[in-house]
Amino acid sequence: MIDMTQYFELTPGVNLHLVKSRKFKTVLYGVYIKRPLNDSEASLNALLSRVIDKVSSVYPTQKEMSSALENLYGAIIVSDIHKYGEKQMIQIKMQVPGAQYVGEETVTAQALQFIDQILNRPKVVDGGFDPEIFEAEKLGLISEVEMRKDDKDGWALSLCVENMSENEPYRIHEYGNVEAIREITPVSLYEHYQKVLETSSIDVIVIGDFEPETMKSEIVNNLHFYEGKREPVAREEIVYHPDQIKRVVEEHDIAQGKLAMSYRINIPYESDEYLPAFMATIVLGYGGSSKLFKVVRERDGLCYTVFARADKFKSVLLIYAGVDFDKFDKAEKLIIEQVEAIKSGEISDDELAIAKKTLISNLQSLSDYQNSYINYYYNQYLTKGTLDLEEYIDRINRLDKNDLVMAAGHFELDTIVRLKGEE
Amino acid sequence: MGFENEDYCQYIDESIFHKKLESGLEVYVLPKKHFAKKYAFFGTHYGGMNNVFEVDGLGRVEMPQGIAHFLEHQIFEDELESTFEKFEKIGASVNAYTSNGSTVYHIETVEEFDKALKMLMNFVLDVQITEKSVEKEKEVIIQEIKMYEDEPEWQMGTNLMLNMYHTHPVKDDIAGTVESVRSTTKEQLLRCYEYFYNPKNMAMFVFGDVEPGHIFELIEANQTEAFIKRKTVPRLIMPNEPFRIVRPKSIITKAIAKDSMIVGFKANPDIRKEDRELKLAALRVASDMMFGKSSAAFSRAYEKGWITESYDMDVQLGDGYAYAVFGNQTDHVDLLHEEILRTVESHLNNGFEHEDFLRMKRKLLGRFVASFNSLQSIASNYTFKKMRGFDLFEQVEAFNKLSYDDIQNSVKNFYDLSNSSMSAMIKEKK
Repeated sequence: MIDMTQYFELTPGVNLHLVKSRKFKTVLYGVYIKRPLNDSEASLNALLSRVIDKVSSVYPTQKEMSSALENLYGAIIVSDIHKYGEKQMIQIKMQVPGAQYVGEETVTAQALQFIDQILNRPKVVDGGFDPEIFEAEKLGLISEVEMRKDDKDGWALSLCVENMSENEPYRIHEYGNVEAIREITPVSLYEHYQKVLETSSIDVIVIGDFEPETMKSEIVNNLHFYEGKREPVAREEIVYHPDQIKRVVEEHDIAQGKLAMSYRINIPYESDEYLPAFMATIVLGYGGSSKLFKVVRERDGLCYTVFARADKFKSVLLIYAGVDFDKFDKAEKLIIEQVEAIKSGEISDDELAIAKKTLISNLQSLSDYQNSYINYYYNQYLTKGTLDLEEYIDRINRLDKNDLVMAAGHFELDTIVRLKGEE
Repeated sequence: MGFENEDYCQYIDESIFHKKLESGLEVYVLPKKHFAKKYAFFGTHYGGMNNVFEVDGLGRVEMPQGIAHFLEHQIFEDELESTFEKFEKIGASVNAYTSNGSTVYHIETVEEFDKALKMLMNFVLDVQITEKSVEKEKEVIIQEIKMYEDEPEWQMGTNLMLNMYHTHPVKDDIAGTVESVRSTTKEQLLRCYEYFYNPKNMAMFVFGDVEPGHIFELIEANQTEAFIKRKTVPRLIMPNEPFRIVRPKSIITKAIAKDSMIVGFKANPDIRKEDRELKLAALRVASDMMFGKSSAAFSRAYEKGWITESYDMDVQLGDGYAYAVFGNQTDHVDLLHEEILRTVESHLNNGFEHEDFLRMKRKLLGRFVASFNSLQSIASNYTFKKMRGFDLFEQVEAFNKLSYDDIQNSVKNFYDLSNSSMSAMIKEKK
């Protein structure tokens, strides 16, 4: 139940999107700063996302900053880094209760001024970011990168992505790497930040119960952006035909084996064939009636966790299962068999109907969740997808089994990772 | 026909309707317009801690650890058709969780809610357990246990509970152990089902754009004969737990990138007997004032480079247990341990700043408004709290009523500096 969406250009390369929905009691502001994913700046962007929301020239200590947010009715600011295919996105989000629920009309202006301070008035010391915050966040990011290895299923999936795309930017993790992070100084990060502010495409999305005209003028008055040339980020290469399957095995101190597999979907999201390909991944591994769940868990009791998920931007399918070490071969064989079954047309009417219902139900309820909807909206905007729910549902309903089978015919197995116990 | 009442919470402008059916089943309905999804939660007050109990005519009964969770898995079993698939066919989804004191089955759907609700009652009230399904499910549950074993933080949390509790089953894993799961039999599962899946021990919660009267009728009509007829619920036996902790410290060494620690403060569980909503609210606000991002303690540790992330905080008041936990990732485990103890001590001695208290109240007002944004979070939160003997609406009231003195008093009565324990996880020296 989205009442209205509007879209404006604030300055070339900076767009404002207003999404009005009366059912939310808070207003959520999202600033999406788009960067290319590459080795020279991945670590800089990651560190930047951790440094910019901690203090500002107006609130120069964390205590002052947090106290100010608490006074603004417990407003929340989150700044973090995301990977969208081969784009790296710095996302700054702020959630503030609607003025009507706290009886204070200026909360909108106050929130926007807060975001503007973070973006345009960082605390600068000797031409760089505040060294104390900088050092703490640098250490924090290094730990975060090192701790990726402690999350074993995430690590298995990461290894799979890294090995699959060893010659593509897609291999790069959005947190960057320890060596590059160590090189960064408060000044080099601040200089990079100036470049980010001046050259990035930026989208500001606001979702909540507000008067659009008033919101628009509040934003124009309170949020400031450079006027200048902003660079678009290139579309990912997505078609790959692996000559042979890459295999990676690592030993870890673990009780259970972790199996990760990747397939190239080989169909871009711009194609009409993408939706049936995506539907095929749902039939394969989304939820309790997927083939993987029914066969690998329910029928053979090999695992507790098993799923498949698709990356729309890079057209990659990732599959994960946690299995006993002596069941790796069996699980891998069963998973490959399920993919082959879809390719050869083994999709029952029920399986197709369930996949359609699952996807439709997810779409219908997306607007129940403010944060999910803002991200969905941005995703659809980036991939030029429709926001017309009826039209989308109609497209899903028109698909038949054959569309899924044809699309799945393009899937090619690329990489298999096993994390096993230490010898 | 049972009694019916409405409870309205002015701060968030929401109402909840409650009815106790003749069978004893408690039903709660929160109608909410403009949301596409509808939710139902069907719960029993039976969880990981409830393995020792007294049955009329039989006396004391002891069941293997993890049996409530095992039963949750078994209830999903159906000879003819997968339970997940049945729901997904009508566009709904189903799941369940077992906590230490409850097992809850829940569904959500945009369309065909009545049908999904009937199906929920149907699969929970019509259990099918065979030797074959029990044997197969053992393997799946063992994989679930092993999955948790591979999460280092989970191990650290488990150790803290073992450091604090001697006999109380809050220390045990909800899923049990590989051995207890292997030892569980079909007969034991069926017996526990008969004992605890009883209307007098269960509650149903419905959230979304629905009409309460209609929902009450629908639930009334879909109870089975066998369900209505179930007699008394076994009396749970909680062991006598000494007040003192077991050991002050435990350390595990793992191949991890960064050390981590948590400190637990074991408190007297009698605190739960009176004004528990108010006390819980006071303790939560106090935690935030002691260790939140605007606290002096956070700034101190951050500036010294001991921590880079926010503190993890938790306060739990349950049947026979009460504790608070604070923790963080750090490469200075001992220094941070002392710092946490010092911080609590200084608040015990010097109280809190009045200005901090006023700011926290503004924050909480805003956070409550925000939490009512998502029907899913209201639904799961309301259910989870109710199943633990707390009420979300009463908690909102309690937060609003909270005075500065409540905070001071609750903290004084809860924290005993000589009764805390630390669990840490240290990286292996290469």
